[in-house]
Amino acid sequence: MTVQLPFDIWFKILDYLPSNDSVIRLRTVNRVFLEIARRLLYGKLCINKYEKRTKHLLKGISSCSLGSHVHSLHIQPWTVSSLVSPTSTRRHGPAGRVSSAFDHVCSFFDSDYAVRKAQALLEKRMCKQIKLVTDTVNKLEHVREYTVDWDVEKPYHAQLFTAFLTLLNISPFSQTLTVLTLRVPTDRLACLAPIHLPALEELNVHLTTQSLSERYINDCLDCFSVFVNNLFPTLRSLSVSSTHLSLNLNLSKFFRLLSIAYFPRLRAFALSIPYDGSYLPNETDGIASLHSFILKHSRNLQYLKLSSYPRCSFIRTRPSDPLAKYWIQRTLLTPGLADALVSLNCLELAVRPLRSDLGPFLVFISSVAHQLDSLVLTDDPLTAEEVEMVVDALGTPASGFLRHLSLHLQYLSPATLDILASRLPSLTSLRLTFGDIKSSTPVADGSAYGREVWLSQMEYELNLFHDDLSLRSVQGTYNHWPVSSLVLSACSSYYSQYQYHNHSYYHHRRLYVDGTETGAAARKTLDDLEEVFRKCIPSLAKVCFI
Amino acid sequence: MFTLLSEDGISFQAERDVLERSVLLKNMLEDVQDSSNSIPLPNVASAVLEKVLHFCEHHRGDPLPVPEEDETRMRKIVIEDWDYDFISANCDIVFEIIMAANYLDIKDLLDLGCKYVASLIKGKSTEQIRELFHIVNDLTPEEEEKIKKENQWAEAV
Repeated sequence: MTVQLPFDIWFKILDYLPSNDSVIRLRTVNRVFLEIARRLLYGKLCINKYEKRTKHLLKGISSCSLGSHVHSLHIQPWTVSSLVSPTSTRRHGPAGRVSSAFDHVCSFFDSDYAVRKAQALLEKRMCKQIKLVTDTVNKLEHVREYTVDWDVEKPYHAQLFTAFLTLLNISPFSQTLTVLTLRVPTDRLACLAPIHLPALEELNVHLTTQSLSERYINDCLDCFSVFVNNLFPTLRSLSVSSTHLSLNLNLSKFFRLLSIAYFPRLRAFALSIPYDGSYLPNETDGIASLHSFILKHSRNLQYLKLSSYPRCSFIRTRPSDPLAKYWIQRTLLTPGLADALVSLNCLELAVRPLRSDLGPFLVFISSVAHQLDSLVLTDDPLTAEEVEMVVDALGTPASGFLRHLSLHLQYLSPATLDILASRLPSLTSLRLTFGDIKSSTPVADGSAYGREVWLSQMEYELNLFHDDLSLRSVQGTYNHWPVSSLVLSACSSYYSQYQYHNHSYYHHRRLYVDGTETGAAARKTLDDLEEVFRKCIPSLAKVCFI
Repeated sequence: MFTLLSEDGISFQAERDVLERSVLLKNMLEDVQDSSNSIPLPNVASAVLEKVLHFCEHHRGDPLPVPEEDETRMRKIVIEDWDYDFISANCDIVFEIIMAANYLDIKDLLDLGCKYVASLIKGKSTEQIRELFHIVNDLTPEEEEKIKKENQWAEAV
C-alpha cells in the first residue's frame, strides 16, 4: 500500500467500530492498532460493582501497565455483602471442621457472635476491595476526569466513599486532574479539606444530606468549603446542586464562606436547588450570601445557571420566609448584577416557579440580551404571548447575536416559529419542549366529544400543523433562517394525553420498536414531520424528536 | 469560478459554494480578491482532486455537518447510497481521499472515508485486516501471546 494513514486518522476510523468486541480483536494487528485499541478500551474506566470480572480488570490494568491509557475514572461504590458464600461454608479438612465446631460453640454461649462475625467479614472484604482499587488507581497517571457517584436509592458503606475521596490525596493524577464530579453523602465531603488539586478547573458537586442535622451538615460544609476555596487559582467552573432529599440543608454559610475567597478564573457558575428556595433561608441571609458570591465574580462570569429542581410531593417552606420561593427572581434583581455581568454570554434560568410574575426575568434578560449567545428557559411552559415577550426582551435583531435558544412552550405552533424566525435571525440551534401542538387554524374544542372524536381532533391538529409548515416551505418563510440543529421534545403531559387515547405517534413510536403496524404508521408521521421541517428550514442539518 | 492546481499540475475549475465545503479553501478564498489566480494544492493529486470536487459538487448546498453531541463510541456505521457508491474503491484511492479530506478540512468527506474503512474492518479477523490494508505485523510472538492473555479481563471493560 503506497498511502500510509497517520495515527489520528486510524484512531478516528477505529472509533467508528460499534463494539468493544471488534476493538479487542484489533490489538494483535500491529503496534499502532494495539495503542489505539487500548486507548479506546481503557480511556474511560468505570468501577461500579465488585465481582470476579472487576478483579481481573483491575489486576490486569495494574500488571500490564495500562494505567496510562485511562483518562477518565468513574467510581460508584457498591454494596459489600456480609453473607458467607455457600461454597466457603463447606469447610474441608480437619482445620475447617474445628473452625466450624468452634463457631457453633461460640454462638451457643454468645448470641451476638454471628452478627459480630458477619461484621468482621464485611470489614475484611471492604478493606480488601478498597486496597485493590487503591493499588490500581495509584498506577493511573493521566486521569483528567474523576467522578465519585452514588445511587441514593441503595444502602451504602461510608468507608468506601471516604476511601475513594481520599484517593485524591495519594493518587498521581491529583496533580493534573482538571474535572471532578462528586455525588456522595454530604458528610463524606469533610475528608476533602486537606486535599489540594493544583490543576482542577471544573468542580461539580451534588449535595444529598438526607436526614442529617443542619448543624452537622454545616460542620461538614465548613470543611468542604476549605477544599473549594483552595482551588481558587485554577477553578473555572463551579456547579452546586441538590434535590428535595436534603432535608436540613442550608447553603447560607457555605456561600458566605465561598465569598471569602476570590476565584479569578471562574467563568461558569450553576446552582440547582428545589424551587421552594428553602436551602437559602432569609433568617440566615441565604440569598444575600448567594448574591455576594455571584456579585464578587460577576465581571468574569460567562455562564450562569439558576435552576430549580422539579416539583415534588414534598414541599418545605420556612415559616419565617414566605419569599424564599422567589430566590431566582430576587437573585436576578440584585442591584447592579445585570450591569456587572459584562462577560455573560450563556444564561440558563428556571422561569417563574409557582406561576409568579415573569417581569423580573424579562427585565434581566433585556439587560444582558445584547451579549447573549445562548439562552435556556426551563420550568413553567410559556404561552405564545409570553414567547413574544421573551423575544421582545431580547431586543431588535441588530442588538444581539443569540445563536442557541431553548424554550418550554405550552404548545408548539407555526406562529411561534414565525416569531422566532423573524426576530432571532442569527439562531443556529433551537430546542423546543412543548405540551401540545397547534396549527394556526382554530380547531373546535373536542373535550365534550367522545374518545374517537378527541383522538381525530389531535390527529387533525397534527395534519393542519403539517400543512401550515408545508405552506411556509412553499413560501420560503424560513429560507434565510440559519438554524442547523432543531430538537423537539414533547413533555410528559402531551405524552400521557396520547397514551390515554392510545393513538399517539409518540406512543406509536414506542410500539414501532416492537414492529407493529400502528408503530410503522407513527414512524411515518414522524418522518413526514421531519421532512417538512427540513424543507421549511433549508439550513437544518439535524432534526431530532425526543 | 476559481481555479485549483493539483500536485501534478492539472487545473480544475469550481464555483465558490462548491469550494467552500472545504474549510481550508473557504479561508483561502476570503483572502483571494482576484479569481484569475489559481490556488495551488501541492498535497493533492489530480485523480484525487477530481473525486473530491465531485463529492463537493454533489453535496453543494447541503448544510455543513453539526459536531456530534454524543461522543460515546457505540454508534452505527450508516452511509447514504450515493456516498457509498462514491467511496467504494480500492483502499489506496480511499486512503488518498481521506488524506485529501483531512488536508482540505472537509468534515463530511473525512467522516465518510473513515466510516467506509471502519465498515471494511468490522467483523474481520486480525489476519484479514493485515491482508486488506497490507499492514506489517511488528509485534513479536511473545508480545502477541501476552496481549491475548489480556482477553479475560479486557472483556470486562
